[in-house]
Amino acid sequence: MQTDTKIAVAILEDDPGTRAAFLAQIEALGFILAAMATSLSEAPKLLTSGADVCLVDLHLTDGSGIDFIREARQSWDAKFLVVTTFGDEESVVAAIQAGADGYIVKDAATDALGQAIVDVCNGASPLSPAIARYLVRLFRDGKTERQAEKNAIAHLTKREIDVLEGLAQGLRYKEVAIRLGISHHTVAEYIKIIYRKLQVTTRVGAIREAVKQGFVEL
Amino acid sequence: MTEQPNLQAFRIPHSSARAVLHWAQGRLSPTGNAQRPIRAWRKPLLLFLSVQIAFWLALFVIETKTQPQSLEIAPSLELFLSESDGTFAESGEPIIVPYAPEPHYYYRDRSGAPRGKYRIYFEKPASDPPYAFFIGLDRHIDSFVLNGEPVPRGEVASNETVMSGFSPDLYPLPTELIVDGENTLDVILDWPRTKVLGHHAVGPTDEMRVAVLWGRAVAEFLPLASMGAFIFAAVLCLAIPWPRKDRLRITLFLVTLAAAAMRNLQFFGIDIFDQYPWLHVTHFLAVYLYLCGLLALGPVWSGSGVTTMKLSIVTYLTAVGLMLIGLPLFPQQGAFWVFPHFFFWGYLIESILTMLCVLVVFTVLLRRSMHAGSAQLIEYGIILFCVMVVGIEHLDHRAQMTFPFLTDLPIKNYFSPLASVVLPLGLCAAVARETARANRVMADINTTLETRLAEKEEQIRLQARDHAIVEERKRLMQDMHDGFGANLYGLISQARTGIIGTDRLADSLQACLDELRLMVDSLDSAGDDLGMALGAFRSRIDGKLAIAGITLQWDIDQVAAQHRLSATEILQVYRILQEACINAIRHAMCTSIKIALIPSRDPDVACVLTVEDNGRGFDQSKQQYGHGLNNMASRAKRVGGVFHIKSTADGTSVQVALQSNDGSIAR
Repeated sequence: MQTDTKIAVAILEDDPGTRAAFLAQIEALGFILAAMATSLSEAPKLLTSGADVCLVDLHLTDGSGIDFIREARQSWDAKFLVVTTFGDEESVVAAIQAGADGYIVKDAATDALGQAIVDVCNGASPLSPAIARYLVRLFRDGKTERQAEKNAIAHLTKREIDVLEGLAQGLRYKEVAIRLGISHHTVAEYIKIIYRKLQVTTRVGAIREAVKQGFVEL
Repeated sequence: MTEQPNLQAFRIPHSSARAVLHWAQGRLSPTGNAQRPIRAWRKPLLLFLSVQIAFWLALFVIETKTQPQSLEIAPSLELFLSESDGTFAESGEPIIVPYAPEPHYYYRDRSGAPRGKYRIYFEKPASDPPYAFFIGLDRHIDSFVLNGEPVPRGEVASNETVMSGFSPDLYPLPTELIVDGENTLDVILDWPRTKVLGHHAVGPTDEMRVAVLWGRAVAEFLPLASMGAFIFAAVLCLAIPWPRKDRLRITLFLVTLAAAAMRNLQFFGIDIFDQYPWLHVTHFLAVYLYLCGLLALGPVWSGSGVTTMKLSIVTYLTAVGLMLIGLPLFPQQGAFWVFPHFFFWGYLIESILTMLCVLVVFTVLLRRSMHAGSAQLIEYGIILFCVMVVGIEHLDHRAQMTFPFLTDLPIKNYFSPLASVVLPLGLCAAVARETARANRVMADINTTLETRLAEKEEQIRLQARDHAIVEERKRLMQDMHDGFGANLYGLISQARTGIIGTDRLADSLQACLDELRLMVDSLDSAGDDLGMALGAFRSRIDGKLAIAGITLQWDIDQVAAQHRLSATEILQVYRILQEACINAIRHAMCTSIKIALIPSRDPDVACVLTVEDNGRGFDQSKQQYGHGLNNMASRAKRVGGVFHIKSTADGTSVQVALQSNDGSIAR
């Protein structure tokens, strides 16, 4: 675990219990708490906190964390970690598409948060079996109402889908690498590519949508 | 049929012409309905003019093409009259007539065969030789005598062409026999097979040859084409499963065409009428069926109705009635009832009937054309064209009425085949129109049905979903009630009374949470393959094993991973796995667990799921099958699987063989 330079963390979370748990963990792991907001209306103050990582809860009392990520992404180069509960894959994928760099599951074991924060600072992106499953299902059935997701899935290559399928079956990066006959670094690369594709197609989709709505003229 | 043909091209330009039309309209509609717009008459007028133009143009083209360019019909012709007992040779006073009716003179030649003779006078043609005698209708010519010298037989071309009777032909005349000034050509005919000399000329051979080629082309190819068209139309009629309402007119059409084709039989030189005179009755029948068919076809074609159906039935009955009357009246004289105009009443009946047919068809179709679409106008035009042919044929042939530029028409014989070539075009137009309409109707129906089907499917889908939701809810409620609901309740009361330690309370709550997660995961994995469902389980159990310091060997066969289970089945599998893992963690003191999914060779078994630990095991003979083991066995049973447990000192192995169910293997 790399803790030489202290990582500054910002938190956007409305549930006091979770907040307290985060605070305790951040303290225990030796990170700095840069700023904290409890609602979407308070969130703008995080932008100037200079945090390296921002933990964002998706379901806030006055809106969605996804909107915050989408906006903040424009001006702030912090890493965004989405805080989720289980069965919330659709929101996670939406958050990734909005620009999130990773996510953590609320009920994960205690040291998972620290690991996730360090990983995301090192440029790695996590992809849990649940999310992989969600993406594979999208790929197989195409059952989604969001055009952006369809586009993203359609742009994935065969190899990227293989990686996703491996992860969806509960394999770890190394096991996926063995199955596909590649190194586990390459698997990590694939996952970054998958992230990027999800985000890029969203941006194209957003521009299209903006043109359609009349906000932008091409 | 609401589309309007483009009539703008036929707009009447002058107001005076409009005034005339208005006047005609006033005269033609006795009610004096001045409100009726003038455009109502445009379509009938257009139709009538088109038919007239087409008919006369066709007539004119064929007429001019099948005659020599510088046609000089032999200016004068004399017939040798004789007493009719056949004893005279070449005597009697000749008479000069402008037209060539049948010769009343006949004689027998030296062999005793009956012959008729025409004498033709002609000036030596102005052009250069060679010269030839042209005859528009090939007759049974026996020999020629030019200026008193018999033309050698070898010089006379065979007059038996493939198509008998109506083929034009030419006969070369020896140049040395032709003198300056007036020449005399005797044409000796095979009497009584040939009664009329017909249309003839003397002129340059080359010019004649062109006319002969054209004439043969028309006379031979048109009947051939008419037979081809008949076969085509018949196949079309028989191949298409016509709707009930169309059957009448299609039958009518076929009968009419058959009649036309039968009339055309004579163009092929199939002269069986000579051998079997009674067969003439078929000819008669054909002519009248054709007439009546045309009469009925017009109205019936454009849409059925009781009136038109009755009309057609009546006309057919009339024709057959005439036949039946004619048969006993003239049993011996076939020719008489083939050509009823030989006797006065027959002539009258035929004339009246024919002209009636023509008038009725014209009136009905012109009236109907007011409201007809462009496709129907084409059909009407085709029928009217055929009716025109019948009418003009009658006027020309039966009534012997001649037209200014149509002296002694050879052409009347070409028109019947022409008409029977044209007629199937009407069928094609009708078929095309009906097909287009049917396609439109089908498209409409399909759209409606698809919409309804989609609505129904959506309904069914919603109902099925509702049903599934209710079922899932029931199952969940049951599970919650029996499972962690009961546990939680127990825990609460234990916690209240304080008989449970904090650690045990936390463990028990953790167990409840685990159970809840399994349920959520099973719902989430509904519809997934087994591989993905197991993946979800692994992410749940991983943390626990890591904490317990147990390594997990994960060995899932990719083919077996494609097996599919329902949400309920997945939950049972999860529970078995969970139970096995927790047993291993708690009791087995193991350091490693292997979870494997392998395909089976047994066709009844899709795959085998194994949980193996390397712990201390338990004595199966002593150990009472605990609650947990029984549960696993019953759960395996519920999935339709076979449960098997084996425990030795080297470890415990739990196996579930999952049954293959057809269609469960992934696509």
